[in-house]
Order: sequence, then structure tokens, then C-alpha cells
Amino acid sequence: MVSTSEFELTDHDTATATVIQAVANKSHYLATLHRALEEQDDRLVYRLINSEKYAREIQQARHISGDPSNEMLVEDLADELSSFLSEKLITFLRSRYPFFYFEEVGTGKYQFFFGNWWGRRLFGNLDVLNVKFNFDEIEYKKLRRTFELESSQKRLNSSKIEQLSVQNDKLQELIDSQDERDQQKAELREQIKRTSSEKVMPWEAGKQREEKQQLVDRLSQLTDIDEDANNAYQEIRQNENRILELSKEDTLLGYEKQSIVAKFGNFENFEKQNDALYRDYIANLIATREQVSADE
Amino acid sequence: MNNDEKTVIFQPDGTTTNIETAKAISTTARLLHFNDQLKDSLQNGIGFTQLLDTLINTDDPQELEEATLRLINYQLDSSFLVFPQQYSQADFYLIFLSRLLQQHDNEQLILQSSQQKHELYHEFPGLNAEGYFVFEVDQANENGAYYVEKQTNNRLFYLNFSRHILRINAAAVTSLLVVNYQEKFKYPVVRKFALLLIKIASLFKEDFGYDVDFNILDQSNSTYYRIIKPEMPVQALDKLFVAASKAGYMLEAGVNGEALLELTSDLVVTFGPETLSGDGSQDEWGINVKDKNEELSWFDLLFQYDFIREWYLNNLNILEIKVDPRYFD
Repeated sequence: MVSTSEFELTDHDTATATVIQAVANKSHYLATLHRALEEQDDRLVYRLINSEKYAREIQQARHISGDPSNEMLVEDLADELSSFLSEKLITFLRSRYPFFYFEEVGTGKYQFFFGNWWGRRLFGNLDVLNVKFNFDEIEYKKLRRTFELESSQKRLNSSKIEQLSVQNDKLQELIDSQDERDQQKAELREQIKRTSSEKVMPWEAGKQREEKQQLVDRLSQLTDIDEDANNAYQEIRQNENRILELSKEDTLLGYEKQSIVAKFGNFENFEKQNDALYRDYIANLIATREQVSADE
Repeated sequence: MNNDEKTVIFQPDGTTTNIETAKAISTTARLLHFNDQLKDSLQNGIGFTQLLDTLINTDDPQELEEATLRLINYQLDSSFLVFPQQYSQADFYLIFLSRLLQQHDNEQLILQSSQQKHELYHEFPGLNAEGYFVFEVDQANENGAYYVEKQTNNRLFYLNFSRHILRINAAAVTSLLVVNYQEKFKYPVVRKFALLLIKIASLFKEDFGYDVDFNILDQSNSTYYRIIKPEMPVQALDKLFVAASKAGYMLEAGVNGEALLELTSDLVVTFGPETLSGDGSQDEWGINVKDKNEELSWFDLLFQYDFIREWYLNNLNILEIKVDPRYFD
């Protein structure tokens, strides 16, 4: 007799069948991935590691069902998978973005520079598993701004450089006018001396003090300017260094802009290409694979 | 003659005096001595003329060098014989150089004589009055002399017969050829003169096995022109990057941190460290010029490319090519 106080438990056979099915499913997943890796089938690897993204972008499926539980199985292999997938991807990117120069900074981790010129900027890193550039935001904004300024024929730092140059001209003037100031000061001192030693009637003493004070004020004004002039050399040098940095940046941005125009025509096309990168790449992998099988 | 004999002198007053004979004999001896000295001095003079003959006529570079070395150290005057008309040491260096070039069928330097200054000097057709070249004897080191453009006091190279060295001076080449002559003459004229300096230095290397530093004029593609500062002048290269871009050239980043400037497909300049030792512990910063025909040096680029010249001259305090500090300050 069955005790009514017991809960009804799952039938063990069912449990066995279920778990075996689940493990078989995972085995199958891993076996498929294993084969894809062995066969260098990068497209299939991409599909297996992120089926949701694949379905959305490639199959443009309306009802997307991912396979997150299986994909979790290889989550801790992200770097190794990235390293595996990078070879074909970077070759592809080199032809699409000839101005990006990739550097491996750790297993499966890549950063890239914009250009091969002196002082080229580190422009971001590459997310191999998502086929995506993670641009350095600050640098990217500067480049976008450069394109925006195109219509006004200005460079990013034109006005800053202009400002600093004007400032330097003024500072130089301060330095150049030192002799003139020295002469003026000598005259003022002479005048002060004369005023002090002049004998005046008591009722004129107030006026005399006033005159003297004016001269003293004028003299201290000039000494203040001297002080500025003394600091001017250093300021000029600092400004020159700043101008150099800004000109260098403008030159870099100029080259970057030229590179994008040469390959994409304009910035919008460049951005469109970046957005469509995953689709383009998978399509390219499919086309290459078909090409290979056709050749075989 | 018996030196021991004494001479008796009979005085007019009838007295006699005995004196030592030494004095009388001494007169004769002195005469003889004087004559010998004269003969020696004349012989010395003859010897000098024989060396001079060699200097003027020999076809053999070794003989020429030896004769010159002896002439510049020759003590021609003696207390018995003085030659009022003489060439100076510096003149002999100059004659030597002219003769050496002549032996190699090169007559580009014209040996002139300045009546005013009583000295010889070299003139280079094309530069004409803008080049008055003489040697200045090194006061500190024996048998050494500087080849100098006298009006600007630029010491173009140093030569030392004892140490067997020749050193070209980048500072003087820059100041005279790159700055001064660049304003006055076209490239072919100045290049011709630079090539002559290279030729002279090569002759010392080939004919006499001298240790030669071509320095800023070195045409070899493997040469790294050493800079006075051993570390890489990053800010100066930033300036070059901007200047090059304005001139339509791109300064590129090399894989080992160096900077590359491709001026034509056959002409590339590298700014960067040269590995002196295998383990890279002795890297020193320098400039390297590679051209297809290996006939251009840093000098040529300074002369021909305005933006490079301007950049180099504006940053000389950190970019100047290093010279041998023992002979140039």
C-alpha cells in the first residue's frame, strides 16, 4: 500500500532519460564545435558560439531562439576562440581597413593603431567574437569632428593654434619692448627725483605729492610689465610645445581623414561599413568556403 | 799641430811674454769649425731642396707623404745660415694636398699665392672668392693640421700624419656648405666641392690606410650619423612629422620605434637607434640615409630639401651630428 503522506516523485527512468538527453545535447554541441574547429569552419564556429546574434544578423529570423546554455559551456574559452578566429578575421579586416594596424596584446586580445605614420594613434581594440571594433571614444570623436569641420575648411585645432600664436606674438612684444621700458623707467625715476627735490610753497605741497604719486604709480606699472616679460620666455616655450602637439594632432587627423576618404569616400560610409561588419564578414566566410568547395 | 807648445811674444819694449798657445790655435779651430758648420748648413739646405724636389716631382704617394712629413719638421735655418724666403708648415700641407690630388689626375683645387699675406691658399673654381682654403697647424698635436676656410674660420677637416687619421667636421660642413653656400650657390657647384672633400678623405684611406671619418659626408648606406644626444629626440621628430606633411611627405613609424622618411622610392631616411652590439644593450640614436646608388649623404639632403634643412638647423642643439671631440670642440 502506498502511503498517502509521501509526495509523488519523478519516475527514475524518466529522470535518467532526461538527463541523458541533456548531456547528449551538450556532447552534440561540443562535438559539432570540435569538428568545426578541426575543419577550420570559422562561420560555423561563429554560429555555435552566439547563435542568437547569428540568427538575427545572418538569417534575419523573426523568432529568435538562442542556445545560451550550450554557449555557456565555452564561455571560459573566449580568449582561445578569439585567438583561433582572429587569423581569418584580421586578414579580412586588413583588406577592408588597410589603414588599421593590429597588434596582439595577449591571447586573443588585439588592439589597433590608425595608420603607419609617426605618432599614429592607438584607435581601439578588436572584439573578435562579435566582429566589432571598440573604438577609443575620445579619438573617434576627434576624427568625426574633423569630418564635420571639412565644410568650413578648418582643422580640429586651427582656432586653438591661432589663439596661442597670437598670445605668443604679444609675449614676444613684451620682450622686445624691454629697452623702451627701461628708458621710460629711467626718465620716470629722474622726474620723481626732480619733483621730490623741488622747493614749493606750502599750499602747493599737496599737488606736488599727487604728481609724485602718479609718477610712482606709473613706474610700478612698468615694473609689473617687466615681471610679465621675464616670464614670457617660459610661457612662449610652453605655448610652442602646445602648438606642436596640436599641429601634430591635426596632421594625424588629416592623414586619418585622407585614409577614410580614399577607401570609403566619406565618414558615413565608413560608419555604415562598421555597423554591417558582422554580416559582411560571415557572408565573406560563406563565399570563401563555397569558393573552396567549388575548387575541390 | 802641437797644442802643448807655448808661444813667446816679443813685445816692442823688449820684454817678452809667454802665453798659452790655445788662443792662436783656437782661431784656426774656430775657422775650421765655422767652415764645417757652413758646410753642414749648406748640406742641410741641399737636403731640404732634395726633399722639395720629391715634393714637387714624385709620382709615388708614399714618397710624397714622407717628404712632406720631413719638410714640415725640417730645421732649415741654423745659426750660421738663414734662408730669408721660406714656406711655412701650413704651406707644405697645402702643397702636399695639391700634389696628392695631382697624382690622381684631379686638378680641382687651384694652388694660389697671396702676396699680401705671404701664404699659399686653395681656390675652388665655382666658389671662387667665397672659398679661401688654407691649413692651420694644430698647436696641440704634432704633425696635425686643420683644413680651414679662412674667411669664415670653418675647420672642414683635420689631418694628422703621425696618428694616420682624417676627420671631417660636420659643424663646419653645415655652417659653410649648408648655410652659407646654400644661399649663394646652386646645388651642383656645392655638391662638386663636397665630392672633392670626400675624394680627399678617400685618398688618405686608400693610399695611406688612414682611419677616416667621412662624418656628415658619408655616402655609405650602412652609415648611421651619430647625434650629439644618444636618446631619441621624440619632440624633434614630432616637428619633422608636421613639417614633412606640409611639404607633402609622410614621416612613418617603423616596427622598432624608428621613424622613416621616404623622399623618393629610391631614397629613404631612417631616424632611430642602431644596434651596436648583438644584445641590443648599446643602442645609440642616429640618422641613416639609404639611396639606390649610394651616392648621397645627410649633407645632400640638407642642401636639397628645404624642410629638412630648416628642421635640422632649428634643432641643431639636439640633432647635430657628432664629431671627434679630440679635434673639434
